[in-house]
Amino acid sequence: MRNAFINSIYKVTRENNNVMCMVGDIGGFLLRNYIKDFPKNYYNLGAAEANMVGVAAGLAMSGKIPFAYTITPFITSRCYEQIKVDVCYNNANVKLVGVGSGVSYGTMGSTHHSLEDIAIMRALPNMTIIAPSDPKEVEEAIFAAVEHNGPTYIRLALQSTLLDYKRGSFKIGKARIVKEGKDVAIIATGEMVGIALEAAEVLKKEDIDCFVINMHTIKPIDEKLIKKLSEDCKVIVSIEEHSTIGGLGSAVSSVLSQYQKNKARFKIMGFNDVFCREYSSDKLKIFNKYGLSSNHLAAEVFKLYDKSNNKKRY
Amino acid sequence: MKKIDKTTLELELKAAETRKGILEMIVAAQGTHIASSFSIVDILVFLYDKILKISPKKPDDPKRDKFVLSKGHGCAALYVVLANQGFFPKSILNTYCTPGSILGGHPDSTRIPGVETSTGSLGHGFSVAVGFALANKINKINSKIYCLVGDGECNEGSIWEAALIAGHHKLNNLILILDDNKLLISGFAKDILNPLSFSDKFRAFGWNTIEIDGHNFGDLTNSFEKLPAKNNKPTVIIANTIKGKGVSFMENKKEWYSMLPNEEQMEDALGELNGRIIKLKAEIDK
Repeated sequence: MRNAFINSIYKVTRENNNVMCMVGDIGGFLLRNYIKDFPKNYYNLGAAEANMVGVAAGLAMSGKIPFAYTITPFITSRCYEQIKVDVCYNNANVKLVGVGSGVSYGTMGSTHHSLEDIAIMRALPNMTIIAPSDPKEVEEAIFAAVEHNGPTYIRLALQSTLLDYKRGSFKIGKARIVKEGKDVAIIATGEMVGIALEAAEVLKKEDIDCFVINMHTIKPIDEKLIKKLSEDCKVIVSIEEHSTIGGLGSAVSSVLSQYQKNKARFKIMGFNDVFCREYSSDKLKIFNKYGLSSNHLAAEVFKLYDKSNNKKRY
Repeated sequence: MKKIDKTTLELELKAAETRKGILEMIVAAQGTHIASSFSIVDILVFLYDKILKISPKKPDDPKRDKFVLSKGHGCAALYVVLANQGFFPKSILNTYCTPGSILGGHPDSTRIPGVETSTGSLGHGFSVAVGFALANKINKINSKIYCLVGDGECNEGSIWEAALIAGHHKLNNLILILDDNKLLISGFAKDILNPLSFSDKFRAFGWNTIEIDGHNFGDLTNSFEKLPAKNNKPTVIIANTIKGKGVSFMENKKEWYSMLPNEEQMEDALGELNGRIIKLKAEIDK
């Protein structure tokens, strides 16, 4: 997804010279073509992220479309008050891009993880949150963010291969149905969409045909689709590479719990209010440790579906 | 004694009237930050009267000069000055800090004409001002960005992030005014967190520095006449000021950071300000 961002910001700047790419001293090598071809659109503001966000707000209020890019915790929690005041309170057209979200920096420990970023960003008025699920969607999100006038946070993870499904046009706030199903829905965001597809394959063998929903926009959330699923499905499970507090699951839960016609059992899967203290260059191993592999997801769906049918299957 | 010229007397009169307006507005709403507003009155009156190229008729003109009040808690001074300049009707000052008003205890850029960015939390406006200055450089707009920070605000680390960036990128279109009233909320800066030399620090960050008396219009005129600097550095004007300036019993007293005058004190304060206004008017008419 990082390379997809690098390519997308290049393409979008070529189309719109108001776009700017600001970095907190990362990505210099990957951005070398950008720096060469758009030297006036690029600023490395150093490891001084709070200031970078304030400067981005000033640029945005002067008609620029600045993308402020660095490792996720440093462009979210570190400079949260600048995001609240300078970006959201002013309603400035700043695009924040966090790279290596969730536990993507698998060997680096919790200082470089972001399992709370969606929660804190959701609480800010005017903020739009997009977590693309694959490289193609990164590009769609970047172009959509330029078209969208207002604060936007784009959460990038690692997924480097293209998810194979028929996709319509990308629209902020409108989830994508990756796989149609019946009775059961998995709602996932970011890299967990791929995991959800794998789980759906496992479940197919058990004769469970589940929807896989790519909730690429977490705010505003696609209420319409969630409500529809809650009427049609017995079980809904959300899964995210984020804390179970305040993220995708909370957003879905907020819709479900306030919807009278909801008849689905619901489960939130994510990091269960813990710091990730496991290290691995293979993120799947970390997911496995924290009960977030495709097998864990399939088992969870299976258990809930069984309960909802009120019968023992084996 | 050197005779004070008419322009200076007129500025002093405006400043005295502005202080009176601030006091009445804050007391009516039972608001706060009288003393913090008083220390920047002369600077604001001078900037809006003599320096800023900005028209209330075209507050969104991309070529305008911009002023950012980074120490947002001094906004009562800004509100009175903006109203006097015609950015909004003076009658709106009477609504300050009441439901439905655009004017709150800290300025909201989305609601108040002439306010470039919302401030209130310390150490934010300066970075935004750096963004404005950078945008002007990129867009080849020659206007200037003026930003006012407080000395207490310079405790914030983000101030020094912004200062370093402005120096590094040679933003000579950026002028910072440091309201150095030397008094924080709980006492004197030298006792709480001694800033040492602001001049030395800003010079080390790649800035031109000018030190003046922030209540002296002669000093203000002389320092701003030297701008823009001949080199490509941003400039900081370190304005030595007195918190509570203009009402003698409020001056340089930490208690007046948030206190409101009682009836008797209000009478005394208005008496002092009215006395000054009458005296200045008489001198102007001479």
